[in-house]
Amino acid sequence: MAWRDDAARSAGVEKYKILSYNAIDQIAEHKPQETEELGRIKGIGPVKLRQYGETILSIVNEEKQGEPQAASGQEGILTVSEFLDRTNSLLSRSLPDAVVRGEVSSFSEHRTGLYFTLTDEEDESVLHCYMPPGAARETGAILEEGMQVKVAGDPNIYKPRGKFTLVAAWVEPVGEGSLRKAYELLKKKLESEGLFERKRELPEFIRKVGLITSRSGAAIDDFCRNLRPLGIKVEFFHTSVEGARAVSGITRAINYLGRAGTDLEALVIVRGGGGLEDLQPFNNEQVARAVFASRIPTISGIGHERDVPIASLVADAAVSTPTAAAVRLNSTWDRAFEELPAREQALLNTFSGLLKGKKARIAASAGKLSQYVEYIVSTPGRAARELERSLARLKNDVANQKVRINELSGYLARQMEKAIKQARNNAEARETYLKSADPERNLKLGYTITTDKQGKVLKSAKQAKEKKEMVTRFTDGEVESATRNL
Amino acid sequence: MPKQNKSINDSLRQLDEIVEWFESREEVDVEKGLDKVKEGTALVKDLKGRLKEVENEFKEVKKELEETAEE
Repeated sequence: MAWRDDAARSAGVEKYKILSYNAIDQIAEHKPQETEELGRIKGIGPVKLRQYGETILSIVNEEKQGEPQAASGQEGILTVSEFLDRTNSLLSRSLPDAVVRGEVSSFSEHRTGLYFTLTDEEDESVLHCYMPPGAARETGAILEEGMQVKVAGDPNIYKPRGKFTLVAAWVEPVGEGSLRKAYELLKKKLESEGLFERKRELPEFIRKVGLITSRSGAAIDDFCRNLRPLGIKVEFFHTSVEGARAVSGITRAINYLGRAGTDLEALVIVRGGGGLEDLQPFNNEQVARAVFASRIPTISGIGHERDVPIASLVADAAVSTPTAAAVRLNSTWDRAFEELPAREQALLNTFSGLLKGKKARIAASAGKLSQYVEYIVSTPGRAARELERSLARLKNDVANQKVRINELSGYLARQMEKAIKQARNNAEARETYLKSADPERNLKLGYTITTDKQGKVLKSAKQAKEKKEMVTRFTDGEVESATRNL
Repeated sequence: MPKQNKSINDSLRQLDEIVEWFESREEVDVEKGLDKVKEGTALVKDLKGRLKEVENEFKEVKKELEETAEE
């Protein structure tokens, strides 16, 4: 036991984190010899085994061997150290996790830890308390003289001094007055550090959110029910939201949900209403600092009576109920829901406007077009008429031509006839002429043709005299003659 | 911003720009105008899809326990 307390003290953690009472009891009962046996004891896992297994075993063996440990060698007589050890064991067993209430009559903070005294208001009994530095920081204890507090811890005789102390695991103010006092103290402290100043904007259109609250209670339902159904993903980390355990639980939740790699857009911490006492964890320094240190913007929806919980003062957004927290988250979507209908309407208006414009233009064009069409449609009539007229003229002309042709051909025919007659007449005339000019006829009439011996016609007497010889042709033959000189 | 093909913010902004475009001019070229309207209508449709009712998802995360029970 003593070893455990020392180990816890040096590691700066709560004793139960090293070894729970249960485990110690089991060890004492079974007295394991091997690591394997030790490992089977409930409360000792592989890590603990690795870290402390050997030490524990050696202690067990020591105990076994030296039972009772009598360095002086005399039976029944103990050394101071042994006596104190035994007493401490006894104390631990009979008053484990005691919670003591009293008034802080003095306190001082040192590097080695927090030292304070509790006084019983009734009979002025005094209890010395000690809190290891780690525990003090972790639990965010704030003390002030005169404050009523309750302290949870184990009784222990501090051997170097022989002083009976209560080694505190956590300290909490108790009673309205003290609670308020602690509240004011912390508020002042954190305010001066500026923790209430920074407020981060919540992102718009939040789709992934972390939720820290208790599984039981109405808060979680209130929150989830009032969240707008937009397919929002809620990652829920359960923790107690009351009592001392809540402090470490909430802190762990914030750290876990905000660990590297998560893509949560907001952290929501909610719990139902309560008095200062119930809300203690949210007026705790450690919780407040954890909220401030959150990587992700925080929304706190913690119901409260008079005083706004310090965690809410630190959060980026604070509302007073879990429902309101959901509403606050929904509001990040407002812009979309508000603007969209307006934009849509504007677009529709524009569209119909455009259409109207287009229609008007089309109508105008159509008007013009129909005019043209009219014209074109009527135009064929006119053209047709024109055409008709031309055709008629043509017909006329053709008819005329025909007539003329007929006339002409008649005329031609007649002319031809005339010409032919004429030609015939001429031909007849010529024939007649030719007949009359025919030498045979003339011969028959008694005329003769005289030629020279060669046949050349002699036309004159002179020619004849020259020739001397000549041929004369009569109708019935020829006669040769010669000229006589007379 | 969660990874969406086009973030809601961007869509809204684009929509704004389109409406702005119309309101800022006297004369609107009908063809261009109709194109913009078409674009805008697509955006509206997309946004409406994002805003439609979908059940929220709820998941409890297992906190990292130390291997020995603490309580």
